[in-house]
Amino acid sequence: MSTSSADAGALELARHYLLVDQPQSALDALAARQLDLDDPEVWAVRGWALLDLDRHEDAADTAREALGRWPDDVDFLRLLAVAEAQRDRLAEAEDAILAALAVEPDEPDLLATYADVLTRGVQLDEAGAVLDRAAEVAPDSTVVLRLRLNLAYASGHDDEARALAHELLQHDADDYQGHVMLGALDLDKLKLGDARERIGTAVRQDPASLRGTTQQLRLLGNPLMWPMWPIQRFGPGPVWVAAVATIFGLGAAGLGTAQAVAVVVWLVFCVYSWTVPALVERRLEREDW
Amino acid sequence: MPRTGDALLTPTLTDHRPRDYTGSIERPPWRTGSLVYGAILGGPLALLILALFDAGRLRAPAGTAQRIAAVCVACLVASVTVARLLGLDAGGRLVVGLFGLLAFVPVRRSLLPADRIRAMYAPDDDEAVVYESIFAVTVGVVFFSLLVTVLLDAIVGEVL
Amino acid sequence: MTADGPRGEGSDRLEGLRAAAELSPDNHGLRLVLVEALVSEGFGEEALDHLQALSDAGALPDAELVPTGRLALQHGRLQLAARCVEAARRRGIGEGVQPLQRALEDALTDGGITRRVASEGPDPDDDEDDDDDRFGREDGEAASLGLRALDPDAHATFADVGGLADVKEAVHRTIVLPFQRPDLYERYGRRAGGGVLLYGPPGCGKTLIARATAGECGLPFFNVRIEDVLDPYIGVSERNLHAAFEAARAQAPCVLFLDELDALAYARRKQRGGGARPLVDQLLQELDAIGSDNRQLLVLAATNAPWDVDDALKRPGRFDRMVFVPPPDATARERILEMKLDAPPTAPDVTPQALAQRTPLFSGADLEHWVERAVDQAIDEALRKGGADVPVTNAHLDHALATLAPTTLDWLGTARNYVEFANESGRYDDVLAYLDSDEVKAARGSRRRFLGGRGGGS
Repeated sequence: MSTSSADAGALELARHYLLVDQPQSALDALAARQLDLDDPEVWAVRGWALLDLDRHEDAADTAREALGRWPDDVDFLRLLAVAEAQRDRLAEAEDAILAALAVEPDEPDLLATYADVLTRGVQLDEAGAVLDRAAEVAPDSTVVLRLRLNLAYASGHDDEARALAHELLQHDADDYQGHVMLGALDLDKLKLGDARERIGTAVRQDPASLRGTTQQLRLLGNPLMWPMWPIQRFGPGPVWVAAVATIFGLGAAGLGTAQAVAVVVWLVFCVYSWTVPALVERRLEREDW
Repeated sequence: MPRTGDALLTPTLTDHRPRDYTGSIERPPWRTGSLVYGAILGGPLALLILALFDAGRLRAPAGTAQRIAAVCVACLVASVTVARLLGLDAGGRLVVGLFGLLAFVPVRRSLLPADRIRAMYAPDDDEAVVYESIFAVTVGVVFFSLLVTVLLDAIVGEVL
Repeated sequence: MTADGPRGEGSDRLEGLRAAAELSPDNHGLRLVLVEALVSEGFGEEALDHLQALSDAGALPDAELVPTGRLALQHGRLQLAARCVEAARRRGIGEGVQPLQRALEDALTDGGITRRVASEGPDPDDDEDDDDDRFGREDGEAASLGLRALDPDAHATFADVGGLADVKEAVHRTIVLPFQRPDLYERYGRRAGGGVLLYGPPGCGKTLIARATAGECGLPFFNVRIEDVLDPYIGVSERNLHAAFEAARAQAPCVLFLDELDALAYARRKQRGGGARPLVDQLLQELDAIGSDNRQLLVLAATNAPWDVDDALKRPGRFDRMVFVPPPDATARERILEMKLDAPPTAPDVTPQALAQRTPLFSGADLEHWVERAVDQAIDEALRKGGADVPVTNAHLDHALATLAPTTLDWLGTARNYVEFANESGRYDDVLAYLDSDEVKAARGSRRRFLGGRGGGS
């Protein structure tokens, strides 16, 4: 039986809303008509819309129901894998994506999804191997490049991550992930001006996201946080070592007064570092929406 | 589900349990940078204890715990031996602290991926990524490790 | 396939007819018999599907046009109803057409907002020649698609919009005055018309402002929504959009309103796949009036997400004027509450002015929702008391307010992110000024204040 034209229109509207990143409107469009449940497109649109709304459990349920009708459908298996991965149910996610790869073992998107699942599970060597295979199949794939970038950053290979982010930006100068990653790397190094610019470009793409990052930028940019710069930049270990070495050095050099002053300054700084950031953070939270 | 015979496509995450980001079910991890206090004040043993707990909370893979243990034990033995050989008693604390700091660098490096992944894949919510304060635990672990280090120091002294 | 009755439970005759129609889909006479049987058994929707197929094939007899139109109208199939009316007029059928046409017009104008009825494809009953616009349609045929302008006398005006003095002034200066004083503006090289984009949180009156603008100018108002334009067939969405503009141009001077502009013209570089790009391209062409004339055509658009609208649409000559419509201020909220509390019985100490002070950042929709919840509680209480009237009291309103949070908070948080980190062009300085205003600063931390009852609905 063919879908009536009104049903086709509703599905087209839902599909369009999904394309333009309005998943709730997509669901509303689907709900407005009692659509043909034998049309896999209806399930696919609903599932991906639920995922975009962060309703991961509902998305997984939708995928499972669809798989009950169309077992071994690669698209629904991938949807299930992504939904379960977002819920951090990695065993289930792995199961789903491996089932999809059993059907299409060389599909780069599926391999990339598997690499993402492995990365979430901190199986970084395995994730790298899967990405290598994906790269063999699709050497120019930006999906693979994105996962490599995530993997490099997760592994702590910051220089490699930076290079990959720049490579991503060569494909598209406004690439969201590229700017976010470079912003995060600049933030780690406390290059606030550069971080602000990068995060600004990313925010222009998707201002509803990165709330945590922008809040961190506000925190670090607050004048009351300036004395914290050494700890933020180098970490507490080196700063403690430098402070203790300075204090002992002054003592060894016979500069008793200077040593005493250094001890006081260091104690004040310790108290400051333990109290002021929390107060600033609390104030920023009060000013937030 | 059918599986290929491909070694790359065999399950590795069968034991994974979903993370609790809010800290309501599981104890949240400590910030990896904060382990330095235990390392400096309590030496490699304190760092070993704190880092192993943190690795568990961060769901770091088994290899991470093994690396941490290897580094910390090596630095512990080295610190006690060096302190002994140099005849340092009061200054032994300095040697312990220095070896603790030496161990801290690779230990932090080992924990970094698990920590970053936990933050990267946390739900997109301002309050999603929770860390626990390490202060009280550090004090306790430092005292414990200092006691053990003294004991170890005595045993090594007998042996040497 | 949808059905409005149980399937498989019809008579043997009906099943036989269905099977026969499936075997011989080109047997129009048989299909008509099946339709008659379906209608008598209550399967109206299924009957309409067959009538649609007959209409597509140009095989709907004259005698069936008006009954089909009536049946289509009953089931909300306005497209088919409009085609039947049009075909009946062309074939000179008089009986029953006028009442059907009136009923169709009533159905098309719902609550004062014009509905757009999209085309399903070329009308096989139309044997007129191809014409001068590039989609092969006459201007008149655009009107036959069902686009109707709202009677200007039925418009709201600015007097009907409470508060928002700054917004009304901005709209008056940039849109209304050029229409009212074209001579003055032409002396300075400015013409009436062009595009204006209204943006702001959802439920804060952007559509009302657009209608009021048309009312102030005394112009017809065409409302084009995404669901009126989109069509599954390739190229038809673009054709529908063109037809909407043509219909508006035919009745210029007028106001053409594009709601949800971000859905219609989502930034092309953000789109997943290129499926929606042709529609953006078509809209750009319409705004640039390529092959057409946009004089005296004022295009207003509204969006909750101006940062998602394709940048090309914000360039000079298109939607280069952007007006921020903030959440209603205290005066506007008071006015809204007065209207919402007018109908139900209320206690004497319930004063809209005091209530308005307690609801900073609430949108019009939020206030409506709040009053509805309070009214529900009063009704529940009335039922418990055996049906006696229970006025809505401050207690009911307090209780309802404890469960709500303004739905504008998310939008404001997003906007704050944008203006703080990505507003180098200064395009959203209005939002920045609003966020720095006293009323908004006083409402900061609202999320936590309302944390106990975040709800609000969508």
